[in-house]
Amino acid sequence: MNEALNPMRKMASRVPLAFIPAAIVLCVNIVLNPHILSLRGINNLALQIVPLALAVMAQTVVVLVRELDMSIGAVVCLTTVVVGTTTDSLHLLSLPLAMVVAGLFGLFSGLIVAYIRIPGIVVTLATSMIIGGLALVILPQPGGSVDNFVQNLVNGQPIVVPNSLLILLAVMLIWKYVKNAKLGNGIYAAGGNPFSAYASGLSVEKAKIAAYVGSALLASVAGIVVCGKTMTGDATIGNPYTLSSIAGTVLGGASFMGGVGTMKGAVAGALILGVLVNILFFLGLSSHYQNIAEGIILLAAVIISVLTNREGSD
Amino acid sequence: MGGPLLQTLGLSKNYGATVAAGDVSISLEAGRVHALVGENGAGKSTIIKMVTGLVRPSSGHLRWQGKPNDIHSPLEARSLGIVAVHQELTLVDTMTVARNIWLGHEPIGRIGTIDYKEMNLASLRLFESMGLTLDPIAAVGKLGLSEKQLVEILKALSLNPKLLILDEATSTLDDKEVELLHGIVRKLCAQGCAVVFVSHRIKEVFQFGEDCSIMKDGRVVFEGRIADLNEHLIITKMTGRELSQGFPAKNSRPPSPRALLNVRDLATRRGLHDITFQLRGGEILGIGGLQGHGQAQLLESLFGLNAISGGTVEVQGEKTTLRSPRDALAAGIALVPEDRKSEGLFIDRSVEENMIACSFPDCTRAGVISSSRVRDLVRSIVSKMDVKAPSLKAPVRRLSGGNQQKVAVGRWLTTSFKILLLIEPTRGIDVATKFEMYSLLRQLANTGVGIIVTTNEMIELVGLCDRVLVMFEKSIGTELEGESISEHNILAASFGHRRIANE
Amino acid sequence: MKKISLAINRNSLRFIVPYVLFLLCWLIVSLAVRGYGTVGHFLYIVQFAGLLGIVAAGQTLVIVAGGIDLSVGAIITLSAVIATQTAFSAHLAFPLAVLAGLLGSVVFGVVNGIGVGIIRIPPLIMTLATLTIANGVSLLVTNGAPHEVRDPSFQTWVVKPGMLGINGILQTWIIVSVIVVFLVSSTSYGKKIQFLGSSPKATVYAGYNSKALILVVYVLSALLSAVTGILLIGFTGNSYLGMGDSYSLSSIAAVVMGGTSILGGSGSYLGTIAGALLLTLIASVLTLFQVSGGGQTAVEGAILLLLMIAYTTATRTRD
Repeated sequence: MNEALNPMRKMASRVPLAFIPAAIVLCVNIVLNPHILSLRGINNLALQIVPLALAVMAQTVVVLVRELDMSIGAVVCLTTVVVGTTTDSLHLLSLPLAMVVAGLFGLFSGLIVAYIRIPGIVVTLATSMIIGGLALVILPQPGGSVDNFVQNLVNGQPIVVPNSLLILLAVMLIWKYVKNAKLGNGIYAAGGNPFSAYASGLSVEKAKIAAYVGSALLASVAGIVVCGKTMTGDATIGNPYTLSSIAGTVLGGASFMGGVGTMKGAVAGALILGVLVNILFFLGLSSHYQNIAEGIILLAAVIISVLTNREGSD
Repeated sequence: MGGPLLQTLGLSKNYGATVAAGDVSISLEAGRVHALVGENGAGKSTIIKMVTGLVRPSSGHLRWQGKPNDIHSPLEARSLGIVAVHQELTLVDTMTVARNIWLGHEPIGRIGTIDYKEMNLASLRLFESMGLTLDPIAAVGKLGLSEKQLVEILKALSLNPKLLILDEATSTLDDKEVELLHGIVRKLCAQGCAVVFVSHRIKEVFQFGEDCSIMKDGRVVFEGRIADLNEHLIITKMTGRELSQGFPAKNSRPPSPRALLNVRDLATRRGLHDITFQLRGGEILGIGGLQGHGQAQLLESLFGLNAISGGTVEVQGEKTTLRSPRDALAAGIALVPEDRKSEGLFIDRSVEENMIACSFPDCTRAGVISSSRVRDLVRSIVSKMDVKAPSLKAPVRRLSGGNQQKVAVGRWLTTSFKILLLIEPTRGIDVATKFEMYSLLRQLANTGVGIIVTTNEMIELVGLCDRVLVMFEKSIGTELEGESISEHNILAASFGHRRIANE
Repeated sequence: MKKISLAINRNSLRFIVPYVLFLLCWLIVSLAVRGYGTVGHFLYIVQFAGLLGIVAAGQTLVIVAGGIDLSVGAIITLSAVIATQTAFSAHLAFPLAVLAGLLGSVVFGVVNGIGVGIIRIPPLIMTLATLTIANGVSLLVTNGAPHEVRDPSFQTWVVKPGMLGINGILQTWIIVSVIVVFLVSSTSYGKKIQFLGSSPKATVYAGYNSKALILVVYVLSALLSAVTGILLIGFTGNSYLGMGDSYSLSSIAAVVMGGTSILGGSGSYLGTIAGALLLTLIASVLTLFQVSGGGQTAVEGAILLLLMIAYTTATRTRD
């Protein structure tokens, strides 16, 4: 068979670089806290990492088209609020409702970015105010309730592997399909070189709209996992996810120039970020330092990303 | 075989008063290579744009396979099977070769996703049929320029063209790759495809072409068989216009003996090498040559915009390091860049602001702008350059191209520069303003400064410059002085010939 | 005598619009609500607008230069917290404590300037990172527990009408306004940051030191945020975590509402002043109608979005 199609070569290109530090960091955590390997421990870790991973995936999709989404945290907030307040009346339907609401906001942002051509950073800054404010209006204090089914769906562990992890895997499978379809190809092309994409007949606008809708949906799933974990609605619980999603995206190897990034990398980035914080906590760093640590990790990740990208472009 | 595949009948395109193409009638036969030859601005790209549906003709018609078929959009052109490869690449660096080739028309598998395996196999088949060895899953970003050009060509081939237009598609290819391309073109012709071949390289024109049309000033001055032509004849037909009157008298005084600028063995990381020349005060030095052979890069390097990897630059005898434009300005070197809209001017700011943009030390006291000093400065520039603007406070983008360029050049006049570099200073400006610019440059030179100009316009090199350096493949090929500066010699030198006797 | 030329051309129309909007809202509000529309009411509104306006001055400079500063809110908190903490635990005299607060903020401004100007990190991400670090430092400094301020004379100066009938906040706002407007319109630095925001590529060819330009602009933003933080101590009597948070997005809203383009280049602090006034008026009306904090944020966001769209489409059709 032709050397070019050698399956070993194909596999090598599929493992993102971020897996190495993720593995290292995970090992360190296991050494420090062997309880993590228990059934309970794995579930707890999954519940911590999965929403973060989904948020990072959301940001990665948008970064792929050379934009940013500052409203991911707000969407998480609104999702928990919608689920928390409509569970009593709509039961299971509260989940798709929350996702549809999120998706509509994503569509709204995407349309403005694509057709009015205002940078996505500032559009989503404004929509984050609208979405976050709306969440607070609906539910000023944490409250509401979450259906038992959802709790079990997210918290359960019937087959050893935590359910939240299965949710993540399901999402990644869906992405795999999208990525290999024309839409996914269009997203990678539009981000890699918008001019070339246009010259080849692809629609950069449709790619950006799809990215923002996808980001909103992913953030919404993250919100569902969060409220399955906390079992209430909370209009501010999602706010830290915006910053963390950017940090995780960078750690996962995506490039702000667009066209470069994978969901596997996103998960690895979330793993690095989440587990690093665990480690610091275990080493006795009080929660006071957590903010500073996250900010420094973000800075370090971005600096490395900027410096290495610059070398490549010369 | 029936009649010609594509015919243009009296195709013309006017932009206002400028005739980009006038009454062009060309026949393209299936299975044959038609060479389209002409200088920059002769009208070749205008014709191509009309044939590929990018531009609507002002008058004239097109016939496809004998039937009238005016092409209204790029999509229409593509559906007929007309595909063009330009010098400007349309590749996505972050994707593989195969994905780039099939971008926009990928093979779809059973479940609605792209069939990558089939895509890679189809790419390999394409490579094989064209006699190439490439790796379909290599990242395009890692390829060299010439390999990228080959991928761009393959991208066109994957669309199964009936008419393939290669517009300066060989500019980055070396001899071996050109030979490869020649083989591909021959195979295509054997399959009945018509090919239009545009190139500045006369050698390739003879290598590829069977039929030939020569354009000059928007019109076709020759249509026939390549076999009836030779290199000398082509060059003569491409040039041979009378030099317009109106160029200011050249340097009557002998330039000052001491070199203002002394460049020795200059080399840059982007490929310039063995650059050695001098510039004397009072002279206008022109840099010519085919596009892309390093002319603009040379001037940018002298302005501190390129990493210099070797050689020395001396200004008035003092060795100068040029790591940034600030270094260059401190040494007395100023640059008027090629793109006045995004580089040479602050396009959204007012005329006044642009004029003082480089002279803040002269119109401020402790950082505070003095409006009286600004008024004086602006007045002197406006009178020297004769800038016509609706108002000094109007954004400079509202000015005509010629007046914009006057501001771009004028803003340096109030600074104390010793050497002025200009890249394509008269591109896109009207004829009258061009001559005003020439007079100004000559006046400046007469005050003792040195001027270096790069330009693609032959008549500027001949009419304006005291000396001409012709660059060839990122180095200085030939130096022409005085009487030997002629269109013929410059063109010949552009192809790499050292000296050809004047006809 | 030097003339300050206010060129009334189509461009500056952008900055008159927010004033017109403010006057319109003012008129409606004073007709519709009893007790609104008086001079006293105006002075009351104006001091809140002033606090926002001083922060927004720094934000204006940064946005005009082509960047954005999300860390202003955290720096407000930081400066206030450092000042009260050093006064309290280190028993520093109040003026020195204030200086400590200002210095601490300048450090973050320098960090922002280096990150954006030299390492070329996108401003949004850089200031997002410094925002979290600054909040973390505030948390460390206070150990979670806020402190009261023990300087009654300062508080009086800030709040009570003094010279010319206006209080410390307004006095400071007026001084800041004059300085910032002068800086942008009449100094070479002001012109250069406008050029930088409008055509960053062209500044290279003009030989500007953009690294220095960017560094200074972020330091100024941090400094002005710190001034607001110190004034807030005087205004509320204490410092607490998160006291500056809402100012980050509000300052951006005020700048954009004032007609400055979010993309940089064209901007005037005069417009921001009107933006701050308008924003404060809207907030007070919303509070009157008992709209919660969340609702106010949502309305702010909606207005911000509408104005961005309006300004973008309006300037585009002019081409």
